Amino acid sequence: MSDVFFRAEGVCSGYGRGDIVSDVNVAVESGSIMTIIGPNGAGKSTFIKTLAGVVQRRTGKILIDGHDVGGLPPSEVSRHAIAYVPQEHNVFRSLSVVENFEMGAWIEPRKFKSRMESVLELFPALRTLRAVKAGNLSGGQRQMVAFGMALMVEPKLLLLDEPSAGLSPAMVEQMFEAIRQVRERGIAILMVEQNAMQALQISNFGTVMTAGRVAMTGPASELLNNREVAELYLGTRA
Amino acid sequence: MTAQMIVNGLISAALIAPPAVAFSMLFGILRFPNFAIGGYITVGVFAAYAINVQFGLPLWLASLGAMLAGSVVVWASDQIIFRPMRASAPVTLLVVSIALTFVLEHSVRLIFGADVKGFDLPLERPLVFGGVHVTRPQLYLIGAAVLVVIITHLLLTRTRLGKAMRAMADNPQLAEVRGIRSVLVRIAVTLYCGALLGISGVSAGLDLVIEPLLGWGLTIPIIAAAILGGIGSVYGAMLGAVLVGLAEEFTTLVLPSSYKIGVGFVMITILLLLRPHGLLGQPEIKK
Repeated sequence: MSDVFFRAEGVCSGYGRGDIVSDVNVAVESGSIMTIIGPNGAGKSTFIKTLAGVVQRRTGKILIDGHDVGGLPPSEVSRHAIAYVPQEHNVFRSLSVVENFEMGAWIEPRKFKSRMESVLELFPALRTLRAVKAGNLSGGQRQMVAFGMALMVEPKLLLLDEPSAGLSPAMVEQMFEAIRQVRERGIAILMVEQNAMQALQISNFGTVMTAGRVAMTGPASELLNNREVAELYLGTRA
Repeated sequence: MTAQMIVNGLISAALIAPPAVAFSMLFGILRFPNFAIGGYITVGVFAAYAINVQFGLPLWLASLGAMLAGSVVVWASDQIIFRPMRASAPVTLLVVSIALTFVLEHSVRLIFGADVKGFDLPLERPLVFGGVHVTRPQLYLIGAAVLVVIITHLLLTRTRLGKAMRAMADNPQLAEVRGIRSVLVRIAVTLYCGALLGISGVSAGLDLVIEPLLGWGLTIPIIAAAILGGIGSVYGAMLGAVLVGLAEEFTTLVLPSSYKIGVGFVMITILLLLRPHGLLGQPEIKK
């Protein structure tokens, strides 16, 4: 890979005493999408939470532009141009859409207005909902707000945890299209996704995680054509 | 008579609203019901009493002193007691906060004695507006409550810090992920709520007598107002204060005034049965 912006080296993390994520190595280039797939309980979400600082890294390095951000709290990780979108509880329900965006731009308040305009270009459906409380939005609209909030800092690395979970097929299509457009802006995206087929189709690279470890990694097109991956995770035969 | 009762109810509401707002804001950020509010109010009123009566300074200056004392004691108790216990269950922290109230009130008793006191104010006849009697100190405390409501509203809706406070109360982990430093927001909330509780002490001292158990006596109506409005909801706390104040006053039509304190309990019971998340609170989402 050339122009690697993000690299995780030998990352171990977990809750309580045991490790859920063991010795995981992943790298993402600027302007590319890396999707992590795998069975439930593989440690995919725990890994992405570790990168965001929500779960503490135990060993290994989390390198952003050469700086190790492992061990920093989430509020400091976000200051290294990393934006994380959790799978659930990813908006401030009692705040309006605009206020959510304002909190998204917390570390760069001066750029709030121009960034919000850019986010609204990506999600025009939110234009008329600016004053509505996020808790009163539909699941799809909430996901747009969550995604938009993360883009308010113009991250260099976007961490997405199951962005299509619970969305209608039309909304899933729209969400993946938005992810594609964000990549065009030169942002590196690391995504955990159960909807493996669609996610790999828009990705540059893919990684398969099982039992907290990397089982396979490579270009997304290779994973899509891999017989074992197709049978186990894509619901098809290559 | 009805107009007088409504005014009396609003005076009670003005007494309860600022501390109910503080209780709700503290709950939103600290994530446990801090019953030490009574102790904080007592510290506030005695700080004002010392400045006004013992040092002979004007009441407005004493009010500022009460706000400062309230801020310091709420912030210090959070840093020294509650923050190190953050991993404990909310019920543990609740019990500790009750114990803290006793420590604060008995410390005040040790320093100032147990006898009743009052601010150094001239004796005046009540003012009469269309048959409704109201004293000048009561007008002050209504004015203070209105000011607190307006300032709190502006803080929470027009300032970045206030919006961050709401964001932290709504979803603390997401707030951290978005770059909001929870430690700083927690300090800001404790200082602001301490000031509210300090000024609440002055209001209580204007309408009631100053004694070490003053704050404890107000605790139940304050918590009733916060729960009634929806615990964690600042605007709910304001609404709850008005309802508790009016209910307490109108209950005296059928019950002796000594039963007023029971009104809060009855309102909490009825509401928790009918609408557990309060009038303006958000129901908790469980998967």
